[in-house]
Parts: sequence; structure tokens; C-alpha cells
Amino acid sequence: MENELTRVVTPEAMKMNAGQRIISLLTAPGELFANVKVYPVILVPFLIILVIGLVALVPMNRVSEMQMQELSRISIENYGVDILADMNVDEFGDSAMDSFLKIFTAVVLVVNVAIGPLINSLIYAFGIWVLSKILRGKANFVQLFSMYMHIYVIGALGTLVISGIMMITGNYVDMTSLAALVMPQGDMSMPLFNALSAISIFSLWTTFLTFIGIKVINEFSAVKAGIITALVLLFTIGVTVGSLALTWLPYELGIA
Amino acid sequence: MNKKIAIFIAIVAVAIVFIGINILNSRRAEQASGIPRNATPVNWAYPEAQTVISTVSARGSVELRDKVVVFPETQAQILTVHVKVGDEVEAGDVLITYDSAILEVYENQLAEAQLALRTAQLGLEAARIAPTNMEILSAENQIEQARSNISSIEAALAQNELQITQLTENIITARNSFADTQTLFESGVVARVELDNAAEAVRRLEDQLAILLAQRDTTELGLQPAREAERLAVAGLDELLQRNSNPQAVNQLRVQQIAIERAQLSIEQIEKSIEDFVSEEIAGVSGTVINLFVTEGEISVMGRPMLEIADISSENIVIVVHVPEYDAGNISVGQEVEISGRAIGNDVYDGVIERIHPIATQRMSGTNVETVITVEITVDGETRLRAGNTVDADIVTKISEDTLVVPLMSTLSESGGVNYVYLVTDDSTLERRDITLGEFSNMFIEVFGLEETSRVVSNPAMSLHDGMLVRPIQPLNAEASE
Repeated sequence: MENELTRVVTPEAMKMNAGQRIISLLTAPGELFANVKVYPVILVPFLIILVIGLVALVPMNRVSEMQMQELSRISIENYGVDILADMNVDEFGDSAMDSFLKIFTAVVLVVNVAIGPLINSLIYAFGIWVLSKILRGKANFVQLFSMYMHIYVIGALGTLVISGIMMITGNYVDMTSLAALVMPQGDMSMPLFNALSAISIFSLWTTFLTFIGIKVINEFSAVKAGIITALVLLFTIGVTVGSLALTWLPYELGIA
Repeated sequence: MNKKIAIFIAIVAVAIVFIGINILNSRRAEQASGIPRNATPVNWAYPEAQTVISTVSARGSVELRDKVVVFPETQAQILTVHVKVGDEVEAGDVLITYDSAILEVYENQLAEAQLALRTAQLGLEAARIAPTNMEILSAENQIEQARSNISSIEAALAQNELQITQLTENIITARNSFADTQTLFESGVVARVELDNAAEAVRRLEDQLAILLAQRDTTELGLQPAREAERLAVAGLDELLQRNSNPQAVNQLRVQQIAIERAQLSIEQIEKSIEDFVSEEIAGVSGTVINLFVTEGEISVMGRPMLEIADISSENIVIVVHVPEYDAGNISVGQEVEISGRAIGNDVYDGVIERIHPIATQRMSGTNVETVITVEITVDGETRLRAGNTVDADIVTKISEDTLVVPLMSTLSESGGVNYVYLVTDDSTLERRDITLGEFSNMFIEVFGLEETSRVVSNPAMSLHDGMLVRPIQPLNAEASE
């Protein structure tokens, strides 16, 4: 398998269509990234992500409400105040304002679905590119950007699957994560719960793909690719836990 | 390729098993707690027995009950102002000294007014002079002479007419005689000389008639001017006789009379100013100068206040507040009031409503106009309140002792004025309970329709509904209440 994943694709290799890319991503990522090295396509994975993201909006909308409710519960239980009280527009009874906020939220979500993957991939690609250059990798920025756009397809797929399970089960805990296994009654205010939530089937999958992609495109050894992948994983977990900490820290410190 | 797909399917299967285990794990945990994880969390609290003091809050100011406004007693230039705001004065103290140079001005004005009066009186006398007998006689003579001329002309015309008639008859006779003579001459009875004489006689008479007719025309021409002269003479006499009764003359008389009255009024005013002139303004009461509206050098104006003097002790102050009209029905004379304000620090004074003004007024409140009732409040004893201080007044309108209250935020209402709360039952479901609201005080409201053991949802969201399963969160004071 090692040989297959690291096989160098000749320039004569065929450019893949969308279907081939998805199948390769799921079954033979090494071949896909070898093709990406020759043909660093960005638009095709972007369109795939866009379609999956738009479909995922339906369950995400419900999951978002559940998470808001959970945030409210946790804040009331732990701090005696409703952290979302200021965001409750129902009390105004203003249907026009309510409609406006719903439309505004929908527009933000759609824009987020379209722009989010691009921004996210740009940031990760840039970070990986910098690390690759430090370790004298051969990849250029466009190749890494294309690589991460392809990896993001799995992330989008994960969002769709996870939010779908959440919507069906009525439980906001990511059932694909370690958190569901280890802390089924944990909540979003617990750093460990959030750290475990960040370790899910799809995050592991994307980490694995990141490792393969870096290795193939940079023509790195497993050690170098592993170092960069580990740093990327730490960065991802740090961002996840940090963003949640920003929500709860003011209450923990009693400054909110 | 098949191997890759098989590996992929195997991985997916493992993932599905993992997810399934997690879901089962989570459901077991939920069943253990008894409440679904997604149940809406609610805070609840027991109603509390409290004494509810209902108040009406209003803002106002401290004002002086009585003050004396000093108006000028004379109109003159202010030479010296002997006091300033805050000065204590005693009754009889000199407040202001005027410049007496104004008296000379008054005397000059008086002399001018007297001259104007004399001038007006002379003008009136001139306007009142009647026509003399000589003027009337002269006018009558002119009429008589005119009429005499007319009579003479008419007599001459009558004489002339008579002569014309007689001469006309003579001409007819002469013409008949000429006709007879001509017949006789043609018969040879008379000589030609006689015929010529008869013709000559007719011609001579006709010449005389022509002269008479010309004389009559000339005389008739003189008659019209004579009659016009008579009319003018009669009109002249009439005008003379009506000299004091024509409109122009009457107007002239009135103008002169008004000028006299004006001059007399002016004299009276100046004499009064001279008489009223005082050189100093004297304090009529003892007190403190609280306002000063004049400065040295300016002219005092009658009717415009110069300064205010008042007793600024606590006995003379009254608190005036403005109560919104929708609270007016709850206030009455004698109600207790708590007075606070920045000027008195943390002190709170007890006052009593002394008077409620009978008429509402409108005041600017920010950019709005609000209708208010003015209320006067007295505070007994010595206080730190000073006139002009802004104060807040809490008027106690009702006291309900040992009554059940809930936080205001826990009550809900629907159209039609129905008020209700949600209660948490023992099986963690919500029960809607209609209630009657009472008095409101300090974020709590008096309620009827609840028991002391009712568990009232204190943060009811719009999404709550009757029978809904919730996650009740134990309030901090629940154990103490139980």
C-alpha cells in the first residue's frame, strides 16, 4: 500500500472528472493526490463542497437550534444567566424583525457555505506550505490549496452526516466522536468534552488524508509528513477548544 | 480495485458500528437521568410573601413657598445697586438708588407740554369765530342789488313788448292805407306822390319795429347774468351763516380739542412722574436676595421686576413635582412621599402631599410633550434641601402587607388581558396557570391565583407551552423555601 500511495503519476496521467475524484478520494487517495500534483484543480472540489454544504444546511439549521438551547441550559445551570437572552427576538413579538433576522441568517449561512471552505482551505494550505518549505518539500501553494480543497470534501461530508445523525437522534453530541463514547453526558462547557469531540471519524479521516496528501505532493518521508500533519491536527484542536473557551471564559472569570 | 472497495466498505462498516454504539450509549445515559437531553431548561422559583409598597415616581424641584418681587416705583436711571444675590437684607434697607437728574428732564417736558396746551387753546378759539353783522348785511345787499337788476330788466322787457305790439298794429294800419292809396292811384283818383308817401310811412314803421326787436333781444341777454348774480349772492349769505357748522370747520374744532386734551394728559403724567419720583428703592421685607434682574446704569421700567427677596429657610420651601397624568388617579393629598436627590447625597426625607393642582399642564420631556399634574410636597424639619435643587419623589400610593409576589419577568400575557404563569409539575411538565395581577413594586408583582408551594417558571420563553416536558433547574433559594 505504501508503494501504491507514493507512486509518482506521470504528466501523461488523465485529468479526473468529479466522479472519479470522489471515488478516488474515498478509495485511493494516493492516486488522487498524485493527480492533484499534476492537475491542481480547485473549482471541481469547490463545487462538490458547495453542493454538499447546501444539502447540509437543512440538518445544520436544526442542529444549530439544539446547540443554542444547550448553550442556554448550560449557562443557566452553571452561571444563573441565560447566555443567549440578548439574542432572543421572540420577546419583541415583531414578526417583521423576526423575518428579517431569518432571511439575514439564511444569507449568512449560504455565504458561509460558499466562502468558508475557500477561506479555511487557504489558511490550512498556507500553513502547510510554510511548514513544507521549512522541511524542503517540493509542493507549491496551488498544489497544496487544491489538495486541501479535496480533503475538505470529506469535512463537508462529515458535516452532512454528523448533523443528519444529530437531527435524527435529537442529540447535539457528535456520535462519530470519542466524546460520544467516553462522555455521553458531557456538555459544551467542558474542555475535555470539546477536545474529544474534535477527535471524530471524519477528523481522523481528514487527518489521514492530510498526511497522505503532504507525503505524496511534497514527496516527503512518512516522518516529515507525520510532523506536519500532527501540527495541523494540534492547530485544529486548539482552534476548536479556543473558540469555545472564548464563549465560556468570561463567565468562568466572572467578567460577563 | 475491488480490494480497495472492500477495504473502504469495511472501514465504513466499522464507522457505522462505532456510531451505533455511541447512539446506544447516549440513550442509556438519557434514560438514567429521566429527562431527554434536548428538554428545554427552565429556572423556577416559589412565590414569596412580601409587603408590596406601590409608589408613583416623579421628578421635580425645590421651590420657595413665598417670595417678594420688587418692582420699580419710578422710571429713572439706576445709579447704584446696593445688594447682590445671596445678600441678607432687613426691611427698610436701601436696595437701589436712582439718578435725580431725571427731575430736570421732567420739568422741561412739563414746560413744553404747557406751551402745547396754550397753542391748542388759541387754535380752538380761532376756529370758533362767527360771521359779523356787517358781513351778513353786505351779503344781503348784494342779493337785493341783484334782485333789483333783475326787476329793472324785466320792466324794460315789458315796456319793450308793449311798444312792439303797438307798432305792429300801426304797421298793419299803414299797410292797409297803402293798399287803399294804391287802388285809388291805379284808378287815377290820387297822385303818385300820395302813393309814395303811403309806402314811405309803412317802411318807416317797419324800421322802428326792427329796432325794438333788437332792443328786446339785448335786454333778454342781460337777464341771465343778473339771475346768476342773485344765486351767487344768496349762496354767499348761506355760506356765511353756516361757517361754524360745515364739516371742515367741525374737524378743525375737534383737532384743536384733541390737541388740548393731549397736552393736558401729558402735563398730568409729567406732574405725576415728578410727584412719584423716589430717589431710592427700600426693602419692604427681611430676607435674602435670591434674584437680581437690574444693573447699574440701566433705566428702570415700570412693571418689570428688579429683584426678588425671600426667606430661604426650610420652613419656606416646598417641593414641586410633576406626576404623569396616567398616575394622577392614584395620588391624593396626605400621601407619604420619600424625597431623594443628588443634592442631599444618600439622605432620604419623608414628606407629605400638601396640594395637588386642579389643572393638568403640558411640559417638554426630551423631545416629547407630556401632560402632568403638579403636586406640592412639604417636608417637616430642617433639611439639606435648597431652593432650585432637583429631587426625586416616590409617592406611596398603596401598601399591601404579606402578599404573594413573583418576579415581573415570570408573568406572561395574551390578547384580551389574560395574565398567566407556567408552573413546573412534579413530573417536570409545564402547567399553565391564569393569574390576577396586583400591585407592582421593585421588579416584583403581586399575584392572585398561586400557592406558596407553586413552582413558577421565572424565565418563560415564548417557545414554552402547556404540558411541555422541561428540565427544571433548582433555584438557589428552593431548599430554604421548602
